[in-house]
Amino acid sequence: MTSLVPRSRLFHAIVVVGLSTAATGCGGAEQVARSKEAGADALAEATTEATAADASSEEGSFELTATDASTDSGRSADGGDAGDAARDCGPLSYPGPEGGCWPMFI
Amino acid sequence: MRRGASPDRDDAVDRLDPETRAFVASTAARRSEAELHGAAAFTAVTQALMDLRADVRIVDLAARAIAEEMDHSAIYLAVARAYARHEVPAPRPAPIDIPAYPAAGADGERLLRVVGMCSINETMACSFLELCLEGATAPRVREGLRSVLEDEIRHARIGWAVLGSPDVGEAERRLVSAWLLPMLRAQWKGWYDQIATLPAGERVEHGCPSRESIERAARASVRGLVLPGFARAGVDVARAVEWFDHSSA
Repeated sequence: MTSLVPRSRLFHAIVVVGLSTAATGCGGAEQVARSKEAGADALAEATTEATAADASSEEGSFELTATDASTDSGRSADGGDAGDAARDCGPLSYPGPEGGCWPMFI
Repeated sequence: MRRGASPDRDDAVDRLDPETRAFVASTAARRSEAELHGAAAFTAVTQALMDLRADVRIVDLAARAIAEEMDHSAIYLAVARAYARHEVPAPRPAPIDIPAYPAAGADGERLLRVVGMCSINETMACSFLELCLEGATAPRVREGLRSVLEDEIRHARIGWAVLGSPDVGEAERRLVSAWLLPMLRAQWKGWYDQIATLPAGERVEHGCPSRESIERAARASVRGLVLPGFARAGVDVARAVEWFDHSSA
């Protein structure tokens, strides 16, 4: 078996932080803040022009707080389209074939 | 683009050739629909976590993910409308099939669903978004991709959080070890098949990399994130690694 060499930034942001979530007492709201930091890390890794200043200046692009999530989900007229449609009746998932796969977002 | 921002005129977009605008618009519209599938998937993941009586902090992340995936759909829809320069209909949520693992037992199936969706699929999605963001220079697209990536990192963590929780012991790790290869094989085939449906060409600066680049990123994600992650979580990855290193599809 060839060796497994994790990619450092995303591996830490996703796996290392994820594995420690239930043990560190880091709740959902705190995770939002921490994933924003991780998103900045991913951006820095993925682009050559990104700088710490860029990342920090973009931090204000949105703020999703616990209040936002519990009240209006931060959705606007566009998001409202999806929200309206979601009020259609019926389950949105059914057991598929054994060993099937999850939908992809590409 | 700010979350939920309504589409507005963008001079930089207006100056693009019609083919590029159509390419980006159709790609964004496609992703807008796919993100609604993600919302449906997280309703199932959240239900599974509730049924497992998972740590409330993990359930909290999954429940938020439902609305966040709907928000992603809105983000991509706004991009599609901006590039199309005409009304693009909002996608409607449609039912999805979710993987079934009847042989794993009820709780086993719940655990495998969470792990499959988050530790595998969402982790791979982060690498896809990282690739898109890497080449994107169009401000509207970059801002949208960045917002989506921030959320997807958190969504991917859900699976790893479950695997790292005290509720997962040796028996559960053996179960995941036994199912890792079939789960990974199914998800990889799904990615591979979907990549094949993408249009030829690329518009890297607008967050639309080529099929070949996406496949390379997906492969690197499995090799550099997913499999090392399972290994760190105490899951036996030997068979999965051997299969993946010798698989072409």
